[in-house]
Amino acid sequence: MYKSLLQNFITTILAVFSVSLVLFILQVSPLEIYNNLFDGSFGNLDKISRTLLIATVMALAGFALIITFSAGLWNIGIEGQMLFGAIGATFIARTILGELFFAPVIIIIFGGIFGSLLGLLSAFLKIRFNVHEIFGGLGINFVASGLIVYLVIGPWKREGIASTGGTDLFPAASWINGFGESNFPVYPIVIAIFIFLLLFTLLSRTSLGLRLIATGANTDAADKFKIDAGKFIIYAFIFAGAIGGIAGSIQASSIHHKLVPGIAGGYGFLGILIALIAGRNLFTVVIISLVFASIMVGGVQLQLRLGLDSSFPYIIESVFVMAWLIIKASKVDAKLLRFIIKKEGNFE
Amino acid sequence: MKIEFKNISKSFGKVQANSKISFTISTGSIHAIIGENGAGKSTLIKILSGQILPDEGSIKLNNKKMILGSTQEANKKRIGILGQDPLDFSNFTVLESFLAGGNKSSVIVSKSKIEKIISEFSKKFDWEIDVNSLIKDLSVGQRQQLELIRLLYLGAKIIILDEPTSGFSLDQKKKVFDNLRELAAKGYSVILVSHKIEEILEICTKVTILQNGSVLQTLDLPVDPKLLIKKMFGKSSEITNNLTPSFIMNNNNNAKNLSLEIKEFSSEEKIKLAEGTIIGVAGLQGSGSDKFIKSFYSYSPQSKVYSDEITSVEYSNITYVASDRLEKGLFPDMTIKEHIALMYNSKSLINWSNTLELTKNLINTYGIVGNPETLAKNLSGGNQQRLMLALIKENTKLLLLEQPTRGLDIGSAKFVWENLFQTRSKKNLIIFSSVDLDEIYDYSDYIICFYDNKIVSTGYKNVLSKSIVMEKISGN
Repeated sequence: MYKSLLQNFITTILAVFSVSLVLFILQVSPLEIYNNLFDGSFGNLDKISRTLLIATVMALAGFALIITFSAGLWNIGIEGQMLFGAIGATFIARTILGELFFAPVIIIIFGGIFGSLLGLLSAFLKIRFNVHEIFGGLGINFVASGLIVYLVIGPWKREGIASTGGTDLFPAASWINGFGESNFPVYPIVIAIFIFLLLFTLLSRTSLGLRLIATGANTDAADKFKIDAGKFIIYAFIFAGAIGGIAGSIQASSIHHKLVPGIAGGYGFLGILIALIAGRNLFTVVIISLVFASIMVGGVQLQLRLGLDSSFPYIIESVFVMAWLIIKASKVDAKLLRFIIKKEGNFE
Repeated sequence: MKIEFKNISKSFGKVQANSKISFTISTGSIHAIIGENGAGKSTLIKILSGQILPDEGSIKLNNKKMILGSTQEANKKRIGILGQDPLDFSNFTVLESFLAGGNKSSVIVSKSKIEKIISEFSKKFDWEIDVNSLIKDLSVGQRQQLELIRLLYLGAKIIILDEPTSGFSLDQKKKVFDNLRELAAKGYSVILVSHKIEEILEICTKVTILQNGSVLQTLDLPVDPKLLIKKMFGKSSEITNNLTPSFIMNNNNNAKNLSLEIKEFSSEEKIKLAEGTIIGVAGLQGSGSDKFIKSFYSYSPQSKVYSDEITSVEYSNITYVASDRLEKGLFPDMTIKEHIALMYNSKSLINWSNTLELTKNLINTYGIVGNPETLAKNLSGGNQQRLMLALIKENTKLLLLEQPTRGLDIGSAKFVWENLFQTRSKKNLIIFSSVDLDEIYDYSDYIICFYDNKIVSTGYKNVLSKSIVMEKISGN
């Protein structure tokens, strides 16, 4: 665990170096960029809060996908599961429950339930009708985003207006607020830490987790170990859907305070990238989420201050991902790590 | 083609797999390479076929140095290998896999031509391969047969057979051997890696014995088989089979009766047997013997074992050991420790330190060469089988084994059976399939003969003679 964490740290440094190289070729000073990114994302408490909030949502999406990846599943439907979580949150916020002082708790729970229902749909399609989860997930994403548009301009439209700008704001009781007077997202962070610990325990200490991983590793052999693969596929989708749904409900009641079309913001798809990069390492998900969130939040500043094209943050992000994957595939990081610890033999 | 190995050395970490191996295989010979599991045979073969780059040494083909560590070079030099576990595209049909891997150069391939080629070869060897069936539906033996056809079709000049014949029946084996002899006479070189001494004596002209990664000796054949065994196993050469069970009914009079319900395969409704019986299912590849074994293993099985009139053995008390170890029996990317936890941990929280202790114990008991963190895919075939044995739970009432000693040397096979005999004393029923009649006769009490997906004959070993069984499983 520590070794892989250290190895991923090395990979991060190498990837940042590669990004610098590309920036250098594009004739911008990497130092200036990083300085601005850092200032834009961690410059003051407000910026830190924003970065952490987005990182939390991304990390949750990444966590959700680690569950399904462990079971050998490509949960493309994560974006839809997040959207459904947001719908669940809005549903509660619009009822009498949304006025209660503990409304955020109910909102989070309902977000999780809504997300897991959609996850269950993917599992059902896969097991009952043999629909591959990638296609099922893609279809479900379309349905979910269509449903939001329908809700926003239909039943949940603002009084007298039918626009895609979103629903009415949630009642104040339904907002997940920051810490004290600030925007510091303490509650989302607490939720993320809780889920992190839960998953860590699940995957490394419980037989449920081990069986989940076994299902993903070899379905045929799972049968010989009397592991019912179908059951664990369902579990994986329910878990992942619930975590995705929670991420969606946080977006609804902590960032937007209303339901808007495309509320998932592509963070679900980004989560797929994050989980791909992280392998099955939850720590790495956190690190990468922080890097991505700071690029997203701080990236706005590049345009304003340095007059760079608005696509710059995405260039940085994609070069980072590419470099990461190349480094991992070429095993440069492992070799470097071995060189550093100079302990041969007991290291793969 | 003459093949000269010179000072070939290769180590994996601390393990010296090959150490200064030098010997020559002359043109037109059938040359055997023998040795215990782990003696370095597979590594040497992989070096010759370009899959592994040796640390040192060279190989000359007809006095020309070969580029090592390149499978392309090996292909160019027409080196063809038929492995223990055939590698192919399991979702393809026979024809498709042939088209994908088989054609030499032309872009457009004629399906009917290839169909003809496959059927011609099949006829020659007396094999039955349906070109339209999926590879994954073929038995391991049929897949090996298909691979051999492909090698010959591709024009391999050096043919390496790595434990090949476990999938062939006696008749088929004879035909294959005849063909190999014919090929050798035409100047092909055939290398046979095998554990089966009789086979080697029957077909090979020379044998090289490997021990702990080095060449012990190269001998001209024929020699006394006992001498070969002695050399192969060094000091521990007591391979005389003292395990043969004294006939079960004689010493187990108060054993309970069990009955097998096997409607799908037989006109007989039930077979009654004493508990503790070992049933050997004899049949050629594709005869349905493996299907029969599998038919007991499911929540609602086709075939059942009743411990009395009404209760059948529960699913949770059945253990099924697949012959395709890495594909169907184990998790290649998971560690030994994780396998143990999966099988033995019944609580929802895993106590890893207890599991580690248990794993260490089992590794010791079963003599697995590896540590708790070793991935299953990094174990040798023999050690994978030992791991499978370690995973058989004590409460097993019905133990199903599909080709339990496929690819194992005599020593490892003996170990497997010693262990199985220990399990047998715990009042269970063992059903195993084997294409090796000797194995059936050495280890079973009761024999079921299979032909064409049907049971053609059953009986206790002392009643059913070997020649009858041989005829029955060949369809006579």
